[in-house]
Amino acid sequence: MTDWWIQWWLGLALLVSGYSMARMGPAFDRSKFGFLLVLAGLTISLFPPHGLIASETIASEDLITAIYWMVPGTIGLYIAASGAPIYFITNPTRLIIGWLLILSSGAMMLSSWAPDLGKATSAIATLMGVVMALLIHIIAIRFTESLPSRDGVTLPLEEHEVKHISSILSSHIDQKEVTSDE
Amino acid sequence: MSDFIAIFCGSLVLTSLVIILHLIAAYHPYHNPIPLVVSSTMVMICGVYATSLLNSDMTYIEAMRESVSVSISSIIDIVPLIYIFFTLILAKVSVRKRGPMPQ
Repeated sequence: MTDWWIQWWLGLALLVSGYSMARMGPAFDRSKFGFLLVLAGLTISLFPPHGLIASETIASEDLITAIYWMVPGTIGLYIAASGAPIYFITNPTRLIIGWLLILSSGAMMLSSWAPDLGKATSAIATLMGVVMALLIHIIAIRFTESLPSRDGVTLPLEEHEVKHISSILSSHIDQKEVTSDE
Repeated sequence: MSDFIAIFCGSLVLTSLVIILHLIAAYHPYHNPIPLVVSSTMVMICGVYATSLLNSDMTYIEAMRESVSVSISSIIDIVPLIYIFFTLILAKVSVRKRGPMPQ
């Protein structure tokens, strides 16, 4: 067994990291590289190397099968949502193109999806694990937010700062009174 | 039952890994991710340890690869349901009649 299996996991890690970066706020430049990383991760994940164990090979095949309908389906959902009357403006062309993509990817999905009792049990176990990890994460967030700020308590203003701010405020109030009198 | 627990632990590890990756990739100076990374790492270590107990003939890495990849397959099996859910919501939004835009 070679260590090339790391490549597959690296691809998945790039996929997740790229999505997280792409969802960052516009003030951070790294968000521009997010979708490039997603593409790189997808490309690496779609070409599984030798040395994967049986369950990784199955997961890789499932991923490849799912991507064929997931990518057009996601694009279709996005296009249809942008054409739907959400903000009082409807774009019928976008709506039709989006729904065509959604329906065609739905047909592809149904041809490859074969749920059974074993898969349902695995899905329940997976959902339970995901929910539990997220609950622990939420508790950790609440704990982090309850911690005191690293900056400490803000010190009160100095005497000269109070005078400076008071003068600015009073000049603004004076200007406002003059304008309202006019 | 051991399969159920292995998948449960695998998805604990997978979710913790995704959270850690997200915290690192989306790091910015106005955020303190260390407690969250520590808690997710602890959850991940517990998951890996429990998985290795179930598969005593495997190393930690092999046990983690096995259980996490099974949970990836399970998540891919759930995705069609999520897709159908979103499609139904979008169908409702697409046929909804809205009044004129408020001026």
